[in-house]
Amino acid sequence: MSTSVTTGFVRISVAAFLCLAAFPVFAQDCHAVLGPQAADTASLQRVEDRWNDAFLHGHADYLECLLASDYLSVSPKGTHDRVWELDHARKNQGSTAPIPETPGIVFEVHGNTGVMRLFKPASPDGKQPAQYMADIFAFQNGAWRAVYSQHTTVASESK
Amino acid sequence: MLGQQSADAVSIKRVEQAWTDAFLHGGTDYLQCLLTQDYVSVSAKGVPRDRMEIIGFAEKNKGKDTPMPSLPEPTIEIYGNTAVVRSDSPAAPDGKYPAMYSSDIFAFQDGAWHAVYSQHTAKSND
Repeated sequence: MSTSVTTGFVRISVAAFLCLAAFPVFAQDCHAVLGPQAADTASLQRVEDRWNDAFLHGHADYLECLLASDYLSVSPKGTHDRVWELDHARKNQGSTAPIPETPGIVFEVHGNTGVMRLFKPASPDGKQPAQYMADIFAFQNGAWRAVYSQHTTVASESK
Repeated sequence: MLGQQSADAVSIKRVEQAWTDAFLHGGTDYLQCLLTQDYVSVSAKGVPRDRMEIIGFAEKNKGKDTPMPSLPEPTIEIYGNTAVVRSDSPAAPDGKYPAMYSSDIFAFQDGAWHAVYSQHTAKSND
């Protein structure tokens, strides 16, 4: 009984130690992956650029650090979570697709809250409608983390 | 004006309630304090409205006794001093508004939650 309790305690202790030991390594790795940042619009802009690059070229390690565990992206067609984003980014590994120009992005910082918002006009061929997009960030542990995104299609009658 | 608050979900719920009340009944003083200078709300039709437009709409509601609507329970996520309040609401039975996703983004600054951005997205029927 006593041995069993002791063995169980040792197992729990070892498991707890491994968890505690692993967390700082993970946190440190993410710190290195995300790079030095400040809670300002310049850093936010760099993060947004790297996010686009990571998604289009399959740098899932960057996205794993950037996206909060409960990150959610909302569009008219429904929602995508962090896993969806990572899976789709991985499919782009090896791609050399150019990063599209996105003029007119607005970055706003309110303390530890960052907002990127953008009006994206309809594509010239009419395949993509005009839309408003926003990415929401929280500055935590020295880096911006993406916590939420939303896309709204501009209704034709509102033009 | 904004009252005693903490950087938690309980305070966020109170703020959301007070925000709806202020908008429907012309509480423009409250909205002046709640909405940041660069606050923008994008409607489900994709129309952006800034702080002054929103306060202008609220001004027109002064003196009205519109009942508080029954809104779906939102999901509140808090990341330090950042809060994301999102909801998924069905279409109005009378067809006045579509099924949509909505979000309000808050920053906790100077002891109170301030609304920095809102967006609504009509669900596609595709």
